[in-house]
Amino acid sequence: MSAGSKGLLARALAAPDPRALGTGAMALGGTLLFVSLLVAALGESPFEAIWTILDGALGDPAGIGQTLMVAVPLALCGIAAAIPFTARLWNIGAEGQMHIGAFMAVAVALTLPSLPAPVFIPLILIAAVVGGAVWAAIAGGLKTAFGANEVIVTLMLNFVAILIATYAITGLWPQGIAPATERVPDSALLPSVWDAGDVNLALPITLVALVAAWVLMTRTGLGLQIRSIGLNPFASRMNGMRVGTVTIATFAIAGVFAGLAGAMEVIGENASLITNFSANYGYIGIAVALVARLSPAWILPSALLFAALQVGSQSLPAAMGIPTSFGQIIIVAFVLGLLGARVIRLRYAEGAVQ
Amino acid sequence: MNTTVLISVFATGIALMTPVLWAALGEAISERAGVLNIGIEGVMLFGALVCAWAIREGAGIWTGLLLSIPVGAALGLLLAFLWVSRGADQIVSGIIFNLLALGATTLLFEEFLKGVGVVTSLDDIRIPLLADIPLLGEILFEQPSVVYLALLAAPLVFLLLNHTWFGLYIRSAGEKPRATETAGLSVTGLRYTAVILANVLVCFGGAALIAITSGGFVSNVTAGQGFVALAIVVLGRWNPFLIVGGALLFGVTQALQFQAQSLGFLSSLPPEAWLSLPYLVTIAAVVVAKSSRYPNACGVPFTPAGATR
Repeated sequence: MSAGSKGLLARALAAPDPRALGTGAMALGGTLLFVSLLVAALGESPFEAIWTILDGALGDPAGIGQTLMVAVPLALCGIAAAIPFTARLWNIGAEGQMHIGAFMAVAVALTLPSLPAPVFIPLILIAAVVGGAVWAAIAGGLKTAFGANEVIVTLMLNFVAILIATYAITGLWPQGIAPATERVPDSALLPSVWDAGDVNLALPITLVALVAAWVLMTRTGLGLQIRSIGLNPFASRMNGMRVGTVTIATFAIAGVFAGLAGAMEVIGENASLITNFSANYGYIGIAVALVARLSPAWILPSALLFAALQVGSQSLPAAMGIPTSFGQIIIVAFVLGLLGARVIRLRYAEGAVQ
Repeated sequence: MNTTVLISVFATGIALMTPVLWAALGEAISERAGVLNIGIEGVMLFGALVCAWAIREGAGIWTGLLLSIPVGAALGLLLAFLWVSRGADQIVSGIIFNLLALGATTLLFEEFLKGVGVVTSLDDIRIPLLADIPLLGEILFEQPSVVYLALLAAPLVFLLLNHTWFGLYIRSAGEKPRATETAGLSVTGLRYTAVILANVLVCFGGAALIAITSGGFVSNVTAGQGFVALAIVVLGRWNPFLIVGGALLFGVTQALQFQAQSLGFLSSLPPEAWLSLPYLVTIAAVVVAKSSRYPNACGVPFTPAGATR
């Protein structure tokens, strides 16, 4: 192994500088204060709340397994935000791309005659990935061709995508009065890899996808172009990079990861496309990407942190009568604190939004 | 499409455009000052929650609407601190703020507002004489009071931005902040004022949503209307009068779904198609508005001379 590759790995995993850690600690302190006040306002003990969350997320195999399975879409949506953000392309559309992936998965699984699993599952995943990529590429294409602000376009496409998924549930393949589509055939379901934790093949697939994202960003020409455009689009153009093509490609790549996330929700535990299956994973993925400082190597730990809070919060209503959205508030307040403390900062070239 | 349907679509459309119009007017002020206020959706949610809470507590709709003003100012102060003082990335922290607002309003709603409560909406006010004008009268002059107020606010915001010193300073802070500073003005102060004022209007828009639709608060009640306002500002080229037109376009497309059954062959479309129409129109709007240019420094944090971060 050459010294260069070791340096690269070291750089990818490098700890943030000490000053950032100091302000990070301040952000953490501020978040804890905010959370304590919030819990106190609800008339409960903050310590008990945090203990309940930890116990629910990591207390038993079922909790650990669920944390891992929630980390799957969060990590994939994190990548779907991190890669375009590196190019300073604001893909807020992971939520929609995920819904299109789920729609494509359920469409293929329910319309094709049942095939053996080794053929069926890859086919479903490919359809979902293509769907997500094409959906995401719309935003990239509109930005390249018309200079349409990708923040607005991706946000609007999210609402449209969710309505398309809703149409699959209410119009195309309804399952009685349940807010879900018909059940997909058994041969379309991802096989289990850890029964005690109810963990299926989605986890290994996600790990492979994370490695692929890391390789793409650090080892390929396209990754270099994406990073270069993020640092300075004008210099990149002057150096002969096709900024428009790379823009569309970047969005399509993001859509691949988000679409994969959506499909694996459908052919995983749920076995159908259910209303509100995503629980804002697409948006929380942005926070995951920020905490990972847009580095693919840090996406997994970041996603696990968010997943643990999310899963742990589910025990709050039963244990303490605090609504589940509490967990989301904690983590999001923390990320906002990190942004305010400038621990997470994105480099800025002079220029406007467009 | 006969006259009754037409009147109904436009009258409903004007009522439905009002929350978005308030929000878009606020957004125009903040973007002109150089701050891209993506937190608009979250601020609207808080406005809606406050208004719904006031109605639920029996304090009346107008108390709710007025209460949204200090709430908007407080949120504006928080966001201004993040964006102006701390120089946090406006797009990213705006999106994160929206997530926080969604979580917080859902939590407060489930804790304090859940279940059936008193649900009322503002009465239509019929303006004498004007309401008797055929067609136009029924469309324009039989509306709730917040609708008239929004239509009055548009020219006021226009005057503020284009015909006052304050408006001139704000616009300069959004175009060339360094030059503004050199001229002896405080970019920080101007942007703080603009962001707070903007979010007061945005928050009022959220409250107006509850006051007009009477549906009461539900989680994520705004359903992307704040983001639509972002697009309308671009479509209206930061000009309050054009913004009214953009908001009307959105309101009318939203109103169409209620008349879908009287639109002939289109009535066979699934409801989801009608629901997605306003969002598709919004995308079309940003594409059509390709020549409109953001204020030069919009979205870029400003570091005052001599300050370090």
